[in-house]
Amino acid sequence: MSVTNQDQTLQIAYIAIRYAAVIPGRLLRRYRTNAPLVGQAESRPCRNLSVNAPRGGAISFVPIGGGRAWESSHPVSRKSKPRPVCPEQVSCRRRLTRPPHHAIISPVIDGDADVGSAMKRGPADTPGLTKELIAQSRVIARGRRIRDLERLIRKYGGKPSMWTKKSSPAVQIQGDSYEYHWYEHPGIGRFEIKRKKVRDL
Amino acid sequence: MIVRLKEKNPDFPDLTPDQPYFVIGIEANDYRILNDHGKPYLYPPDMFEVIDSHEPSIWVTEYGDDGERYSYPAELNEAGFFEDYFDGKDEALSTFWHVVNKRLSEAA
Repeated sequence: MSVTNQDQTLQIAYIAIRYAAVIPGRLLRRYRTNAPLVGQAESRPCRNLSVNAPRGGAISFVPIGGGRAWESSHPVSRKSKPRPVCPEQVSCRRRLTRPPHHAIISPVIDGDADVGSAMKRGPADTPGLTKELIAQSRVIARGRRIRDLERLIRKYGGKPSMWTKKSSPAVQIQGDSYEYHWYEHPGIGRFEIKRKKVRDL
Repeated sequence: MIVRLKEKNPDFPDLTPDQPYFVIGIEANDYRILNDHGKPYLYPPDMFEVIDSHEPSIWVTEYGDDGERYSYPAELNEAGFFEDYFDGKDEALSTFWHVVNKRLSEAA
């Protein structure tokens, strides 16, 4: 075999090895992107979710909890595990990108309970902070006079002067008076809603 | 500093038009006043007209990053003070009423 033929053979072998590694990856990505999502028959799949989905290398992300959060889903386990589907694309995208103003996005928790663990409990534990109570709410602290302002900005963003801590009027529950306290920022939402037992101040 | 509600506002039934309100302090430009139920909440300043613009000499004034103003007597000027007050913490309650009583007695 001449030197030229050897070179050609090596080139062909190199190309074959390279494409053997690349093509399955491409096919897999195409399969993951274009394949229809499994879910309720009347629901439309949320194809555009990938625009806002967190990136995790080989792991893809799917919406869970009515579009309130993401869950990683390895492509290999896709066939055995149905991916959730959002009822409608527009509202789903809105929920996943930024909470609308006045959206209650965290469940109510009692007293000074740990926020993280309370958020895992879900809406079943959420007593009623009604629209009426929200309409009658009052501002108890604003901007730099909120003790946890720096943490709120780190966690949720926003302008310091726009953060408020609010209180609902007192509500009677089983003979005791309670108020709901929460943080709020226009355009971002309400956070860390707590129900506090109150006495006459 | 004393202000008066310009007109009846259905969103704020806890305030009465023409009633003078003593301003306890200013927080991110909002007025902290004792409402008709005796609770010191914050209210937007554009709802009020200023009757007496004299500001107490004991007020400590600061400005935030967004240019918003904070003015309070030193005892009430700590971050989180009114959160403690509305959480019913005894120390905040007694400090608050001590400062307000002192200020009202000076004004009388």
